[in-house]
Amino acid sequence: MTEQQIIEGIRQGDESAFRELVDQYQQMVVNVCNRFVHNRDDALDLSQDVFIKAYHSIDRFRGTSRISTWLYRIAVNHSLNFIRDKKRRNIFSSLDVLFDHSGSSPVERAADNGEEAQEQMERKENNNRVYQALESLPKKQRVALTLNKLEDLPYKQVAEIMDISVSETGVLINRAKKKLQKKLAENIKKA
Amino acid sequence: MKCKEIHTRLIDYMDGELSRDEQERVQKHLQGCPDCREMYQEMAASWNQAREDRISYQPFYYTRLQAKMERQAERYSQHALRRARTFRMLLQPALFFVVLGLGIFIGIQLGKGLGNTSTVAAQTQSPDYIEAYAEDQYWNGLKLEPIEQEYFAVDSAAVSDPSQKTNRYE
Repeated sequence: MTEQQIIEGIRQGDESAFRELVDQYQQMVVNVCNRFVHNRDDALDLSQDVFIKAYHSIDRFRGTSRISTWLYRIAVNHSLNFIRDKKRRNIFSSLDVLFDHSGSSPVERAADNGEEAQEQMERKENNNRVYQALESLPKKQRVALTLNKLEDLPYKQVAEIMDISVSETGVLINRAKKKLQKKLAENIKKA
Repeated sequence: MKCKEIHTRLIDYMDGELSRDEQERVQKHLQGCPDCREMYQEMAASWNQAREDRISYQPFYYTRLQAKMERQAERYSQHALRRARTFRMLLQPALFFVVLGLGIFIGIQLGKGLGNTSTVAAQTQSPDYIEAYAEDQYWNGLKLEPIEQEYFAVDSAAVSDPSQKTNRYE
């Protein structure tokens, strides 16, 4: 099936066309989500949402770009929204812990959850340094560098996904690379 | 090249994106500097680990996706049903208050009397009607002048006593 046939098929409610889309781009979408959320289960869950969103908004796809570019765009936006919401949830949950006076004190709870905390610390240590360094970058630089360096996309496609010019993409990637290397070097020195 | 400069070129060096001259200079530095070499090895390990961190093809992915879509559709229909029920619950009292307000408004308007749009009002305000009304008021509400009062008094006395009848024009 060609890209055009897939799009037309989905528009006409052909389930096999949607299945073809999912089979063709499954790995791509799952992995780009994983690049941002660094969690396998979250990435799989988010990628399903990406396909559902694509299915419902197929009429808005104008066909001026490739399907992969369109799916990348949805996946990146969805992942960034997920990270933002997760941060908010974490803030509220930490506030809940602070104001929750029922039961044991925070210190006692921390002691109870000692094992869990230990596991979390270990996971954090084992986490890839590159992801940690990437998280410290500004959002646009992070997206551009992730797509170009980790997903191996050319500047032109990164520019299309981010809806910016190719030269702007180049600037973002160069700045991001410098900051990333600096941050990585710091992390390695600290370790 | 200083160590600090090397640290900012390591990713490009790994990916072979430096110019040939720079590539050679970095290589030469790494051969002579054990600290930078160690840094490079650590960085290369992390960088390659990140690049190779990929989730493989999931065989039951589409089945799970379908199940999720069905669950969402069901949730959406339940949500729509709940919204319709809430709307109905809100609509009834809202309708009651609208009817009540309308009743009060009509009552107030009736209390004020009919507006200028009525035909009676239009007739009463026409210049012909006002003139006719004024004329009628004039003739009906006319007060007699003293000389006319005297005349009518004499006239009425003559009716009651014919002997006193005099000729006024004599």
